Amino acid sequence: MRRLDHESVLVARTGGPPPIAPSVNNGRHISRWFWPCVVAIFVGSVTLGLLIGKGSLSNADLKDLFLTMRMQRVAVAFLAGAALAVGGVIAQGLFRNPLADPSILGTAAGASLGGQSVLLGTTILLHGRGPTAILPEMVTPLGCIAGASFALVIVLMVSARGASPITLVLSGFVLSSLFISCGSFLSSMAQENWELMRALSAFASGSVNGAGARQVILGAILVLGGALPAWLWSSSFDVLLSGEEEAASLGVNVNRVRLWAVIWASTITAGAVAVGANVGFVGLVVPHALRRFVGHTHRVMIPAAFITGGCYLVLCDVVCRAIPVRNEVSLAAITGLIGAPLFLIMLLRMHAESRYD
Amino acid sequence: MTEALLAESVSVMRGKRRVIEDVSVRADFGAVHAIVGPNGAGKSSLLRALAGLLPSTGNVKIEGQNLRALTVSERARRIGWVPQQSALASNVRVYDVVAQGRFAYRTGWSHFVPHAEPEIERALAAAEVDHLRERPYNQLSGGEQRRVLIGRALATQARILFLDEPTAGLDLVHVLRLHRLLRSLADSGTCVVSVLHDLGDVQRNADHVTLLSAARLVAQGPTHQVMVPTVIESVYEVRVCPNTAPGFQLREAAP
Repeated sequence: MRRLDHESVLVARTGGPPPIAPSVNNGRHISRWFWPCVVAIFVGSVTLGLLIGKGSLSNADLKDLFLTMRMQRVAVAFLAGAALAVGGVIAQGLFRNPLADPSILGTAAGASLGGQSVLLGTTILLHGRGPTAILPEMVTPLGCIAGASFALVIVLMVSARGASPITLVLSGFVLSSLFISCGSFLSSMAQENWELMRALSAFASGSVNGAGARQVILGAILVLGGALPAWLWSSSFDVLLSGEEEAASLGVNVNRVRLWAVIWASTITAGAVAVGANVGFVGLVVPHALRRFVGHTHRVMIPAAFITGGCYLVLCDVVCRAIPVRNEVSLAAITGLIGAPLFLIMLLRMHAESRYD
Repeated sequence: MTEALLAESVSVMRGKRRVIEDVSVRADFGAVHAIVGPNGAGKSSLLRALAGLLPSTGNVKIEGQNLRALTVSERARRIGWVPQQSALASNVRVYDVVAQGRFAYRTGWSHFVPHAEPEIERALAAAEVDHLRERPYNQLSGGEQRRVLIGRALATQARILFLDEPTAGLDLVHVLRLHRLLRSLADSGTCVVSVLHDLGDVQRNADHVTLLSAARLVAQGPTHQVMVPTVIESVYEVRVCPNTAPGFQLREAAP
């Protein structure tokens, strides 16, 4: 059958296949010190979160109250950080773009606008007559999910037209600006109602100050409800890194995976925004820092981003509390100060690489 | 030989342009089947349509079953797909890339790909990339990357292997090694369907040829019947001259 004649004069010296290396570890290639370090960071950040803040723990009467308040604040910051970091991992896998992040793609701004719209809508519709059981915390998350999904779907449509990574980022920036403008417009409309205006502003404030048990429960439901299924589908995201055609050839139902990825990313981003932590760049900073330790495998990346993202925001919140100013420094200011320069460096590096491709 | 693939009257539209028109193809197990033709003839589009990766009309049967009746996972277990160049640009380990071939075999409610399966080891060995298993994919040479992608396709345990211009951009040594690998796969019973450009490679390595020109089928059959001067001259618009000058042929050195 084979028609290869063996009458060569010149012989290619390939030397045949190299000798087979002894079988090594299957599946894991991260350092054995990685997870102990993550646990140490978790314990350290939570301890700092409980110890640092206004008010002295030496006062026996107020110690329990301070600890409870700080614990709730630490829990909310942790959940929000975990959500934004995992949201970044999912978005980066979905768009195959290391610059994708809920705050950059407009997902967080969409969630914020969605929450604000629902809050305003329910207040106007009920006009004080509705059932008091419908608390803002119960209805606004639905608006946040809808807003985040809307933003992600628009960006996905831009991406489906073959947009470059930088075009995608610009589209997200435009969407973010649009949503923030709409949010400001809504806040202006609610000027007559001081309580409502304060609630609307809280969405855009980017602070976990004053977080209570309600926010902890709400955040836990939304964040875990999005992060856990995303982790279970991590192999689909791994295969999607090869592009849609290859993923389909390997058995990935691309449309279904994209749909669910949008739903989970929206749910967890909504979780972060609904508890008040509409802060930027967490989903950019944390996965970027983790990749050199855990690689690109989502099965490891998602839980690692969950824990370290949570710790990152808890530590950022500790910094907010530790800076001695009259009112606390905004959490969004700290994350922006760290994230924005990193984003710029990554953007310039990507631009330089694309020029030499 | 047993029939692996039977496609009848396949047509593909891209936008308003018909890139494949009424093409019928048959490929058997245990043979290397080449799809050839000038640039723009529709070779890659035909391969994608046969793999179910491009919408098409007509009837495609894979191992006797209608391609459209197969689920995405069933299709992945029957057809191994090797792209010309993977969109995978990240530093994923070679082992993990090959393990992705097991995606269609995942069980239960999670999407975790089972790791440490003997099929992954066999695929690494068959594609001769076992020694690269811990290396990041994006740091490999073009030839090594191509072999890793073949390993990933072999890990699917599909008995039909589709390759889109597997020798494009490869140096001489890697081209020779790749053809040796494809031949050994065919000898072990796999149906290898490959889009090829180099007619010399086709003559030396393919058992059957499907020749396309301007989206249409020109000729199909055993290589020695299709790749004849009159057909090549009419399709490629060249003049075929008998090789009277002393020449040489390249092959791999013995290990």
